[in-house]
Amino acid sequence: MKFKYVIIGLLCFALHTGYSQDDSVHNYRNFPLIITLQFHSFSMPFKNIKSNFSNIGIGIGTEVSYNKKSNGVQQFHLIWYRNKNMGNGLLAYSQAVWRPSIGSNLYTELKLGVGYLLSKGPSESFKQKNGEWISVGKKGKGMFTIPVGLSVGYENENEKTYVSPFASYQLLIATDYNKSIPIVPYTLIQLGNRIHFED
Amino acid sequence: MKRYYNHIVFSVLYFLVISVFSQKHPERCEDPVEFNTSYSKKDAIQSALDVIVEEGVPGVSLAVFSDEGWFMANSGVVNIEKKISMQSCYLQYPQSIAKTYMAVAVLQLYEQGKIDLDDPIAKYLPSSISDHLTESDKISVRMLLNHTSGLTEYNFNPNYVTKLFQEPEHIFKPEDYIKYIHGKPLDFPKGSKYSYRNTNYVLLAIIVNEITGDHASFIREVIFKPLGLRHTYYPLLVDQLGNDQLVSAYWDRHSQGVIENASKIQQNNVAYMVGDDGIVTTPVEAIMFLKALMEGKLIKEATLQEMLEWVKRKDGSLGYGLGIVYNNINGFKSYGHSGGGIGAGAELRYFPDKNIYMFVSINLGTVTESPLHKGIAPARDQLFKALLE
Repeated sequence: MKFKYVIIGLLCFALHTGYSQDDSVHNYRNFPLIITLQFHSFSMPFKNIKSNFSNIGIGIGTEVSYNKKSNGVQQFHLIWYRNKNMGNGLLAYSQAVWRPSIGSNLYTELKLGVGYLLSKGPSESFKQKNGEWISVGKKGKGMFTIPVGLSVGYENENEKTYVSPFASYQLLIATDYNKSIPIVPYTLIQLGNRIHFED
Repeated sequence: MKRYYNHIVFSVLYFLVISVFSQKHPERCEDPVEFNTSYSKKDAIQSALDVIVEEGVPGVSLAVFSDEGWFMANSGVVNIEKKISMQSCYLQYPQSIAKTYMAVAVLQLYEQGKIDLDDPIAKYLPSSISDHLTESDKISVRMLLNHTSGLTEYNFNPNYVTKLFQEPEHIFKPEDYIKYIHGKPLDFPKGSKYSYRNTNYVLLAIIVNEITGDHASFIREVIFKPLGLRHTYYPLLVDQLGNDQLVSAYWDRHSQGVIENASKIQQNNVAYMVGDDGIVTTPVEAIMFLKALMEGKLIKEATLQEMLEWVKRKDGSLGYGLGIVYNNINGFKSYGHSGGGIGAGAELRYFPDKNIYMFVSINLGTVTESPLHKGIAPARDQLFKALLE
């Protein structure tokens, strides 16, 4: 619950300060390496957060700026997570990111995008063929997703190779889970580093 | 060389003997009652069950009691992975049929003068619950029993559904279910119409807890014990019961016609449901319960008549009594209940015009849509046709 208020507080602060600040740093470099630790859950947003930490994953990504600055970028991510009860997943997504600075090298992010999730089943599945049950492994399903995220992070663009640690909270709305439940919510807590290598 | 050969032979024999005796599932389990092997409809019924399995259900188990005595039939498997045949001794999931048992417990308290069906539920519920329920001072016990309360459904709440699937081992207490509807407005004015809600029966379980101390013990005491139901369990305690007595449960998670073994979530879900679900039983014992109810062995005739006063469905047809459903199947009226879960589905029915009782259960989930269900519907029709003609 506290986590929710921290996120919302940071977001309000970002919205307030984001508009009033002059982006004075211009040393942004495109195509950093983004490495993330993922904590996945089948949950409604800001609910059952403890369960996220039972389902760990990893991710890799990059981003490109819209304006040579870091406050408007497009990110690309590929992540894999393990979820014993709901099935493991492989998710590819891209998000447009608005990244207002909140001073002292701190920033927040608002993210919105699209993605594709290949969600595997949690256990072996079977299909009937000629009266016999045949294993089809942990057959899963591909689903389109809409990822919406909030982040806080730190960056110092003046360093030669700078590392920007960040934390994100993402809601993934996955479509066509089955015929009775057209959309389902997943959440991801992401802890990562954006590594901007020296040119 | 010969000595080594003897060692090998003895080792193999020893291994085979140990393997055979350590099998948890018997090749053939004992039939729970003597049944009529020359039942006139046995071939037609067996054929219908076989079609259900051909259409993609792992296993189906059926029991019938009629003027010809007991009959049992099975098709398919209890467990796909181990290829264990379905048999009549396995415990099935009646799912919402548990509501009829819950209603009988409430009606027994009514006969004992401990509950008035037309009193408001706030009179019986702890204030920690009734204070959070809309119009709990106006909704009656009868409205819970016949689903006319207007209270909203707890298991439509996405927070409940996600919690259940992400943390299947989570222990839900009765009041936890009710928390999902705290302060929610009624779906329709109380008493104005019939609309099935599991919430009603969770509240009845809490009411019986308040009156008797423990509704599950009360159900065991006033229903299971007098009827000698030795293979009917409530609540489901998997650790005590062991997996080998229960049918495995399968679910088409993504509506693709592909099923997974969902026994773990099925067992946990059923284990923690109260009032609205939670019983496991054999097909024969399910019929023994309904038969005793209809023969006046559980409640008095006058109470039974009150139980069979039906509220109507949207289309004007007779719908629900007090924990019991009215249906018209192939022109014959039926009293009973059906149930559906993540990994099972069941029907318990009495056809008074034919004096036929039947229970049928499948180990495939029915709560979410599956293309496999399309083939089952005509096979089910075939089963009823065979049974009733």
